[in-house]
Amino acid sequence: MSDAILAVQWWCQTTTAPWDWTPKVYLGVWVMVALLVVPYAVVMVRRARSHGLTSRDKRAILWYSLGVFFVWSASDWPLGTLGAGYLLSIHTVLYLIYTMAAGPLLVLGMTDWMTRGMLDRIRGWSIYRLLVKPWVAVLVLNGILVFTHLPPVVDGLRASQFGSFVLDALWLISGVVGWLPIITPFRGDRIKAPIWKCVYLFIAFGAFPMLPGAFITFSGVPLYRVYELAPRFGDWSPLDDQQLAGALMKVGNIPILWTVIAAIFVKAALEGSRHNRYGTVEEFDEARRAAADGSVPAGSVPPIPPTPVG
Amino acid sequence: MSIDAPPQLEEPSAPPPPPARTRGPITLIVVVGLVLIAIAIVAFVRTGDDSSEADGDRNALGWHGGILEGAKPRPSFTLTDSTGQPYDFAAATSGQLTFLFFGYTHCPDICPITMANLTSALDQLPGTSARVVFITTDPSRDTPERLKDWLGGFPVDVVGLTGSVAELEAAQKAAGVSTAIAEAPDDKGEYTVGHSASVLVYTPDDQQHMVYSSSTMQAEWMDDIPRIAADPGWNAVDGVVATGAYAGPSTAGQSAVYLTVVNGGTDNAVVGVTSPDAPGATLHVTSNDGTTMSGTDSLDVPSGGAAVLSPAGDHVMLSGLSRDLVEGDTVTVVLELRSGAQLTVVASVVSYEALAARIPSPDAVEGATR
Repeated sequence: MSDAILAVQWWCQTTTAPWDWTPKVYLGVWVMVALLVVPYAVVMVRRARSHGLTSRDKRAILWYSLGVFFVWSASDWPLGTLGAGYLLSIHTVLYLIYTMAAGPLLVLGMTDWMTRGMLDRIRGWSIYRLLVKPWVAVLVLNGILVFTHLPPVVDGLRASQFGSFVLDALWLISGVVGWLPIITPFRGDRIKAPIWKCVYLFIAFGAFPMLPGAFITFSGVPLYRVYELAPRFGDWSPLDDQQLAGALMKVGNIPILWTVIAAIFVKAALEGSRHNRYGTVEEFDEARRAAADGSVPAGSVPPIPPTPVG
Repeated sequence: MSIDAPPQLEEPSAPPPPPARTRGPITLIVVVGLVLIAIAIVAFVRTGDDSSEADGDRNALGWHGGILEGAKPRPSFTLTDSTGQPYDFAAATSGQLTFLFFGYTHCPDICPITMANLTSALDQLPGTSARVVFITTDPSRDTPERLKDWLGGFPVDVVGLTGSVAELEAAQKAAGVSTAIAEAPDDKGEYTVGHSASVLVYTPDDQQHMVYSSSTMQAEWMDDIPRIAADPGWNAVDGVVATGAYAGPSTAGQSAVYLTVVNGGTDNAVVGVTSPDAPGATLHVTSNDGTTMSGTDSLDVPSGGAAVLSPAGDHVMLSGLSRDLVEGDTVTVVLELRSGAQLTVVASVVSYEALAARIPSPDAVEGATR
């Protein structure tokens, strides 16, 4: 078998070859990207032809595209390759990408009508109803986190292309499930009180990962055969790499997590302020109409906030 | 009409259909999920306990390496060390736990990983007396200087050896490993060398009982090395074995070595001590109240018993040290037994804090005295 054929693999996995910067082709990654993009595009095109696309639909397309981009970047060379067989720290970065970027962006990319149609088609309402419960989402998210960071599991799954795919898929699923209670397309199912949203996010994404993160950080020996016996990448020792990975697991999601929590807080504060200025829906709608018509001079009423979206 | 809640500005989305009444699948998923999480947590916790993640790779006897069906004698060959001096492997390592590996410094994968895992494990086992010897299979590129530089990057001292192609082939044959073969150079003149990827382990009885693969993890080494060092069958000379040797940092050219001498043979005694690092090596005993220290001609090691040399107790006194001893160094002492045999012991130098921590409690001393 020629080297060219050998170089084309289905999915990233552990390799004993020293790292080099020659790009690799992973067919499975592109197939998965196609499976994510094509059905979505078909549904959106049909929707555009039948109903036209709303601004919300267009934003969803943007979010979904970003989500697919993160899935691709985490699965393909070089990040996917490095994380699958060379550096535990990159493995952790991949986990963060799947759960903190790709997962939520894919959820944001799903409109309510699209999700409803999908759940009808796959008869998935009961599973959805279960997974959207915060306590279930926390358990699924962090159960997968712990399970997929057990040394025997990592060593076992990363050894084969299929196992490595399963690991990546589990992370993407956990990312989707973990964010459902906050950004499910069905607003009525979302956690309503901002404070509880913040509490949920902190527990689900902040508190739980501290435990395995600390365990990995403070272990005195390398835990994962895959990464300990991998050809070295630079001058990093396996233990240095592992300590960085543990630190990333503990604090790597902080920028995203606390940005979201801050956004929730600010949004809640703004809505509270708006409520104070427009005591009733009727008053608010009246002010909006007046501002739109130009019948009310600017400055005579409090500024009208933009129509909220999201 | 007034309302208490903030105005609802978001576009309402149609509520999803009522939940299905099929409780079976939900219950099953919850149960499976909880069981999975419980198993994961238990396994994760157990993973951190005594490196048990490597349990699956143990052989039937509980070792991570292979035990030879018939022991091989420590090979004899002389090569050139990284200072350019001749190094008689058999003589220089006789009576010592020795790890021998053939590799080359330009090796992109196996050699640095194997050496890093082994030396990192030894670095975390300061009480273990052991020598690590690395013999190049690429003499044209691995000069003594290159060897010294490359091996200096590992956390414990490693003896690097090179020689002519013929000498190295002879050494590989003597050790019983396959002879290395260099691949053809690429366009840049770089090449790899196919070589044995085994770590050969020689115990103080000057036999090779075990061999380890290059995929041995650090945790696995840490699991096995203390057991190898403590195995009286492999480390015994005339049934006597010395274990757990360590020394304190030197002060004014003096230091002390502590160890445990275990006797599985007939009644014996340590009747003398020498050291290539200190001309004034003597046996010292400490009075029961710990206030008086004096030289002695012998330390009895009765059959089935042991002599424990520890801080604030009996010890090997080193005077006139030829070099300063600091934490991380090693120092060699040779114990002379009444039976006529000699035990060579390499002691790792530990910090003062580590020494203080190893002072036996009065109860332990009293118990040991009884």
